[in-house]
Amino acid sequence: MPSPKCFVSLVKPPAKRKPFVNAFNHRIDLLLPTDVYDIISQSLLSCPSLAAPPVYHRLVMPLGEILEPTFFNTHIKSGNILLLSRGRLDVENIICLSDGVLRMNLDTETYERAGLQGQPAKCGNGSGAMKRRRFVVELNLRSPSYLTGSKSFNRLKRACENVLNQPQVFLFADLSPSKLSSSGSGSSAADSAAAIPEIITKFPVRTPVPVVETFTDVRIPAFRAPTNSRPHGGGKSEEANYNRGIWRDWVMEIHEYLSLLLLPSGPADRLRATTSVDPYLSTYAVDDELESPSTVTKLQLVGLIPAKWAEAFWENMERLLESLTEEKPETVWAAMVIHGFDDVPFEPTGKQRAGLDACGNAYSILKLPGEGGAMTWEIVGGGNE
Amino acid sequence: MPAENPLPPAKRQKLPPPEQVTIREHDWAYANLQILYDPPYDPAKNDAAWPPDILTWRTTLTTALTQFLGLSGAAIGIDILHLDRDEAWLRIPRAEKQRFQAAVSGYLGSTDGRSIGFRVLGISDFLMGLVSKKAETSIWD
Repeated sequence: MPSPKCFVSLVKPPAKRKPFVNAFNHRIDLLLPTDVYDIISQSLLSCPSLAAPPVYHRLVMPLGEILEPTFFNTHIKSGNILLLSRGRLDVENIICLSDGVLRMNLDTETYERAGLQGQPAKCGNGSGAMKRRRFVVELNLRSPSYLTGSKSFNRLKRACENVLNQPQVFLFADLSPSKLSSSGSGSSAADSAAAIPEIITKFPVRTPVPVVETFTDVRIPAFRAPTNSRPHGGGKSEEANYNRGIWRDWVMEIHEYLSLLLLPSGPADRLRATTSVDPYLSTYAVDDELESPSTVTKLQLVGLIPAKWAEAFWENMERLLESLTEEKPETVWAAMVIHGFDDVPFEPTGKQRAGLDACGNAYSILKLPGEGGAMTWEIVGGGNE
Repeated sequence: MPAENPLPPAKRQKLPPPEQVTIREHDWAYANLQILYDPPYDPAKNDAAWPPDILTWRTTLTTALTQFLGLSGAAIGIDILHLDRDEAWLRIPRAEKQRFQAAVSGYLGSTDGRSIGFRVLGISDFLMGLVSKKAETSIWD
């Protein structure tokens, strides 16, 4: 089975970064030096993205609810929603809907009883007895063959009534443009209230609230690539190999550093400048560490976060950083990590993802200080298509 | 490297692509372990042995690895990155990931009248992945 990998890219202007597109994300963390955060905090907290945070609902319903006329017409035939069921990938059945395409990853029994058109999953199946364990079903509900009363529609409806009829926990977000721009203003709320399906009104809307934390006395690297290191090129000499190798090492160390700042109970013990341990217990050290410990601010948002919102948020933040003039450019850096759901069986492009040999799903982006550009890390589990 | 172009840019000049590298099978793997005691410690009582300190973690891990893998197991380099109540975040050489997981999951020891074991909450080539996976559960509540 192929091993998990990390796609790293270094983007120096005028090159453009590929946009982030992962549909299902559950958290965003923004990390900045505290002195930079203090300068931009007012503007950041009132920036367009945070003024309209991505709201979502936690629904408990059987899948068939999406075929009810109001839901179907408002959100499936028109509009744009995200829907994701809870479950462990390749262990339980998972249903997800994005861009109007309903995708399911089912076990053999459910698939056979449901009678829907599908294929064996590319991941999660082994050989011999394990050959047909999991199946995937992909239905484009926006296509004209899915109209209330049509054959395909009825087939899906039957499956939902007979097989997928247990209420499940879903996360739901309405991404349609009218919803995003209204943000609760008077007249448009009244118009859209008429079209909200009943099932959604039963569950309160959840609005992510940014939570800001400050970490004092943390060790911090200079975010500078080692001298002469480079991602590509330079020839075939030993030295060139070394230069490419240390660039990769540096890149993974920075990624490791960012994750150590984001541990659930705060920055890792090994990052605390006030403590040290015997090397027998840990040899971890921050490479190219700045002489004096620093203070870092973390801004966290938990919710069903769409890719476009995350991109807009990062752009808002980049613009604010560009407007800084007093700070020395070498000290201005910022990182954003978008944590994706790992238990999602599909990528937005339709490629299948594996539950076994999964390693997490996170997209990190770091704006390097000065003219360094930006670096992105995207981790992909082994066994993915 | 972008070439120097003294002429004015052509109408549809291609922007230089970002530098991309695929990194796999790098040096480290990361594990998030939970230490389990039977009978469990009551956090309310101020027991000196709770939460387990870094030396307790190290010695228990060494015992677990030696028991299953002998001397080469004891020699696996472990970096204890962070401790939080009964959980630890560790860094190990990536090549040892499978052996480490097997030794640690299957270990059953005892100390002070209590049995000890480990539960592997997560193990991954990427620490960021572990952090993401762990955080994924809270949104469902």
